[in-house]
Amino acid sequence: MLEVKNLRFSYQADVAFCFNLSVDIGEIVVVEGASGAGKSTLLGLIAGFLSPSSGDIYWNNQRLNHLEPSLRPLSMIFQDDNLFSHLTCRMNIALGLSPSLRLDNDAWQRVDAAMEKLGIAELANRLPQETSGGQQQRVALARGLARANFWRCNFLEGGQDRNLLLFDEPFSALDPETRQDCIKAVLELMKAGQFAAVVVSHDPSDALALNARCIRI
Amino acid sequence: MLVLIWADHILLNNPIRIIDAINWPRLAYSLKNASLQAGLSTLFSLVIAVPAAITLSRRRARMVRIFVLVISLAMVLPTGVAALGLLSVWGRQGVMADICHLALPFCGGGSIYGLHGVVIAHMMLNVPLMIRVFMPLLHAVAPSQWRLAAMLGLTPLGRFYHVEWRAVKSAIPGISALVFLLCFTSFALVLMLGGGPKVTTLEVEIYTAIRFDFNLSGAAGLSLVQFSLAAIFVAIIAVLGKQAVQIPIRSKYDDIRRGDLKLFDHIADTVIVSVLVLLVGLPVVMVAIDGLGGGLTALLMRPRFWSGLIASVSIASISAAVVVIMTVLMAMAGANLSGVNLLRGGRTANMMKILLDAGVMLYLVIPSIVLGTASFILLRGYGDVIGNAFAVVVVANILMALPFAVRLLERRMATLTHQHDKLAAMLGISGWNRLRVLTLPPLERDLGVIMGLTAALSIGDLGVIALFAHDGFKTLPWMLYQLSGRYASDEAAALALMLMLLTVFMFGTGQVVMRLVISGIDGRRRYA
Repeated sequence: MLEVKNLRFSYQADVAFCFNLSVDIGEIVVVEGASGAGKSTLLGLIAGFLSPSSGDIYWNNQRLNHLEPSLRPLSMIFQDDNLFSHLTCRMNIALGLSPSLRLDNDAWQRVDAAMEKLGIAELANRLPQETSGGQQQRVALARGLARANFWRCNFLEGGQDRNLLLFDEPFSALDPETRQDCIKAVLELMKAGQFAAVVVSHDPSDALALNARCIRI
Repeated sequence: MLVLIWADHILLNNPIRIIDAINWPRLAYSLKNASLQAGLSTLFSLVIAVPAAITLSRRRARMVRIFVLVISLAMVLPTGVAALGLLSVWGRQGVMADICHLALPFCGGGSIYGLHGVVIAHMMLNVPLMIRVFMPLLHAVAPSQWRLAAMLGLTPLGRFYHVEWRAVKSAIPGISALVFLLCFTSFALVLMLGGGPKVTTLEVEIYTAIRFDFNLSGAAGLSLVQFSLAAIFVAIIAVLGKQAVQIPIRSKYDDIRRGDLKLFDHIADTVIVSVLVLLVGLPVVMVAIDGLGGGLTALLMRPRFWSGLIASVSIASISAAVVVIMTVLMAMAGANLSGVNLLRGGRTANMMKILLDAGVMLYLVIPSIVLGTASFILLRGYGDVIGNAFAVVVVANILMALPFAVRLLERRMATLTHQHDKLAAMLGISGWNRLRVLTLPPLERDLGVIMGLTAALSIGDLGVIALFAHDGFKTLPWMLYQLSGRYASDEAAALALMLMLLTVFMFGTGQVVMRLVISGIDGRRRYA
């Protein structure tokens, strides 16, 4: 379970945010709000890209504040540029399992299984620019799935799975058809593992489509 | 003009005489030597510039911005001043020799003269240029790519391979070819730091042929070789430049926290900044310190200093004004020709655009010393060589600045032209009114940079003047070259400081003048 308690952050003296949030395993929470309300800031703080001035972030009762982004039990999917353009889709997913791209057979099987699960097995040897926007989002989701229980966060007590998914406006740059496809992929992903997900969105219909709890900030 | 001169020279003289007049073994040696020197200068500049750009682009503190500004000064630093700065740091009596002597009393400072001195000097001038090319590319990397690298836990090497190298690599062939050409055709630095005929370039050989051997046929032949080689390089640069990927700037970098920086990064950044300080920052500081020594009063008492100052400022001012006018006209023509080409597919317009681009690159094909040689031969046959020196130096400076100026403006001009086309047509704004109201005001900043840059480059140029300087006509860079050659070190140091300050002053003044001119033209002051 993800818990965000009195998490404070300010860019300048006059722009300050305070966040409180909890997300259960198996739950999707859609965070809505006007531009500048701090939606992406919240994700940046949870992911470790930003440092809070005070407050705490807990994952299964363990504090995450001190951990750098790569050590946190999460995968984040951005609006765009989720993939490295010089690596094939398969290699992009593999990079999520090993930053040095040295994978054993078990790891490669996990990569292929994730691609199979998200229905993108035929994209394995294509470069991201040879795929559509929706397919690229699916590759990023497959990476999240492959990372989930493969490389346990041993620096957390008991070796936690990377079961927290953060989505930063993942559908806003997509056409309606691709958007539907990606929502379907997220739901498939949620079924495939025990995930908790936080989705930042501008569109009120996203919460409905994802069958998610909606909070406004 | 050059074609006319060669035609004239070849018709009046037997062409075989020109070929015979070339010292072929010496030519082969100078080509080999210049290639080695330029290759090493480019390679080492690249090795420092890529990590330096990465370091400076990920640090956003105000001190870093000031540091980038200081090292950028080296790009417009007169070559003579750069040479003296390097001597103050790396020479026998330099700071490094003193430090070395303190640490190891038996250790004497080495000489900066020779191939290594020229290479270090070229690195000092070209590393900042490369950094300025690479930094915007790194700033243009999407924030999510940095965050992805952090989230996936990429090592510094992995991040370099997957993110940073991908961002800069498209620009490397083009900028390397340009730096190679600039080093290959280098003149003043090789003359001052080469340490004799062992280290040479074709430009130095041409200068020697005219100034010392008075072998005009030999100089014409060498110019022809230089012209041919430079044309090949420019063609390569044009091809490689087109391959460079134009990356749009997608977001402000300032709001991204680089959570992925590790201890290794901090150590690497410290090492890189130290190298930059030693290579670029310290020579600039030493020029200032040495210049405040005893020679300033003696220098200011010299009437020749004041006549040199007047000549240099006049050349810089005229060159800057002409370059701004020509740049606006050429960029406008280029933008209009692109528009015609796009809309109607006009083959003539396309042809004219190619010719225009070729004209812009003229200076790179005809370096100043070649232009000077051609002018020297032409004026010798038809007029007064010495009396026309001022005009020749001005023309050389204009041609030197034009390629950079047009490249700086053409994209903005094309965007503006096409952006305003329909609106201007609907409102009936055309001709001078369009230029005054719609085109020039948004370009105020760019034109200011062009004017300042041209003035700064012109005031420190030691190219054509080397052929035309005489007792009645000297510029400050030529005076500096003469003073440093005569071991008048105090006065040379003072003059170097004056030239450096003058370069900064001209750069700033050029921008202020341009702002005043444009606000006067577009009538803002009248309606404010």
